[in-house]
Amino acid sequence: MKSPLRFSPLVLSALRRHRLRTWLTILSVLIAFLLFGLLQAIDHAFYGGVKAAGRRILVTMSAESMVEPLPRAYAAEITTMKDVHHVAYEVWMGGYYQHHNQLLYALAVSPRRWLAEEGRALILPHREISAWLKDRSGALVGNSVARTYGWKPGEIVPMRSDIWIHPDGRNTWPVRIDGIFHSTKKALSEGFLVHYRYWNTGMGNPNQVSLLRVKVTHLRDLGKVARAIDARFANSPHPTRTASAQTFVKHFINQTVDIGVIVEDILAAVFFTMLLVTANTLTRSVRERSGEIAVLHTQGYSRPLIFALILAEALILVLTGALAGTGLAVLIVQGLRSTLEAYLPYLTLTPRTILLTLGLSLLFAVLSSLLPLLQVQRLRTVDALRRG
Amino acid sequence: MIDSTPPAIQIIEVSKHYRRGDETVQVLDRFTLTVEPEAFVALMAPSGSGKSTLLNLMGGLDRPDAGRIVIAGTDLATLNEATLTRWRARTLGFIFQLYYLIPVLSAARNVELPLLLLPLSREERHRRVEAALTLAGLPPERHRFRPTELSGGQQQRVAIARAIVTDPPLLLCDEPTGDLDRTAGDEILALLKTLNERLRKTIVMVTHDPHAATFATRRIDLDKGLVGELRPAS
Ligand SMILES: Nc1ncnc2c1ncn2[C@@H]1O[C@H](COP(=O)(O)OP(=O)(O)OP(=O)(O)O)[C@@H](O)[C@H]1O
Ligand SMILES: [Mg+2]
Repeated sequence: MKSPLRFSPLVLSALRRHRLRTWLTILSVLIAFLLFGLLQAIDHAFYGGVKAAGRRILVTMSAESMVEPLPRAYAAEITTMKDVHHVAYEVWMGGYYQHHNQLLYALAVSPRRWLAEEGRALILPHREISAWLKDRSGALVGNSVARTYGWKPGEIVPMRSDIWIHPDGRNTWPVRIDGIFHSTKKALSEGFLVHYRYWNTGMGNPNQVSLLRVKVTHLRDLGKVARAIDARFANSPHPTRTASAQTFVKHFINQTVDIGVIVEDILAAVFFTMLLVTANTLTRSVRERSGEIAVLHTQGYSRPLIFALILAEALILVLTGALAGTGLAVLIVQGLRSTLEAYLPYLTLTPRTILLTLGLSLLFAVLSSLLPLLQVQRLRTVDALRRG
Repeated sequence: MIDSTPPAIQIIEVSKHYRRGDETVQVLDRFTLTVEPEAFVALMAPSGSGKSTLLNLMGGLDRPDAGRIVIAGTDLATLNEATLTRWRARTLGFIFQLYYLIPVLSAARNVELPLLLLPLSREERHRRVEAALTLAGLPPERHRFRPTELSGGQQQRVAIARAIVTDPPLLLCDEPTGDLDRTAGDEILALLKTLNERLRKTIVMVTHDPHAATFATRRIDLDKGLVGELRPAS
């Protein structure tokens, strides 16, 4: 009986006075939140990988440069260190198929160690796994890359590499497809796995690796182990730099593009504009209605009630725009995901983002009604009635 | 329900000034006036003499510099902003020259506004709105019209319905016919007279139209303005 909804015709009447202005304001809020949603999704697409990277994993690379190899013997040495659970290693093949633009994301890995860590993310028949483990020149490939080139199990693929040339000058690395896997991790469906030993013998046994993946026993020891590793090799011919896998991914992204800063700058500008537009609409609306507001006051409408009505007006403006903008962002992200999922597997709007949107829109509704509220606070009923 | 204890208005030695730049405009200077219960008083004074100021003070929309304003036994000085607002909702109906209806709301919705402050069901609100509009003489088929679709006289009827819908004992009218032609104006004045006679509303109407004053039960001429110790004859 005393539901605040009974005031809704009054609140809506304020918005209906200038329909075009109301819609334009809602549109500006919509655009702000659409951009917010899209940029959040992109941000998540870039940084989502950071969180996905194993939490107990350290990555050890050469301190000199990302492409400088390390001795494989480091793996055995690190394994003996305190609080280290196990060590895997890999070589980045930098391979391609028939043309340079047909890049293969090929890794030469220590097969059992690698499967122990990532095997759970792979879906393929067990016999294909055991076939690969026995086949030193075999490969396991992701379903996505297999589909791209139409590869079938048993087929020989003449992979090439510009980085790794055989001692006799050949640059081909033919491998047999032993299995094709699906993966719960989207990035892996582009994967191409070969044996480390295949690479090592092919190169004349240099016994080098691109990086080592060190799994620590307890998460709390992560920093300590990282420092211990780097200290141990500091004075060797191949000093190391060790960081958590998360830091590594982040570092890699930051080298690509400082997306975070760009996102923040654009959003700040967009939201500031939206705030100005909304505040302007409300301020004008209050000024035009000063006579009506004064008459409400003569009818017994208290100032706090009039404040609440204006706040409700702001909430409707901002929430309508925010919901529509976020809804549109969700639709667009869904649409883009099927096309981009290979490159940006984490492109999605998380529930956290949607909650954040709600919180933000409430905040902006309050912010944009501050000025109009001040106006009402200052409005003297008798003066408003004189002006007519 | 009609209040059985209608208010008397007592304005006692009230002063009010405004400041315009450096100069002070003394609008009311120790002004005194008494209005008996159930009277229909026409306050006649020239433009700019302080009629609206006086009405606003009676309605508690503004505070006097000095003096006392007692309405139906309540000294307005004893009420704070919040209680004054609630008191206004129970006690007063304001009627203005410019109607002040909300243009995008129907006549019925406009009249409903004061009722939204009371604990009434939707049906009860609807019933009272229809009763007030009918009493004010707006044809039923126009109750859903917007103010812009109504004539000036009809708009003022809607404004009067809005003023009486909560059944307050006192109506304060600031030149209610100032924007209307003679015929429409007379209809409104007749309506106010009916409200005074049949519903026993106490009405204070300020005007500078002598013809309008003939509808009142008592006419107070303040042609020298409200400044000074003016004790109108009763
Ligand atoms: N807020 C204000 N600030 C300054 N001067 C004011 C203010 N309100 C009223 N006045 C002055 O006080 C005087 C009385 O004003 P008021 O509106 O009460 O007169 P009125 O009798 O209602 O006039 P009218 O017949 O034109 O409506 C006028 O000279 C007016 O200019
Ligand atoms: Mg006036």
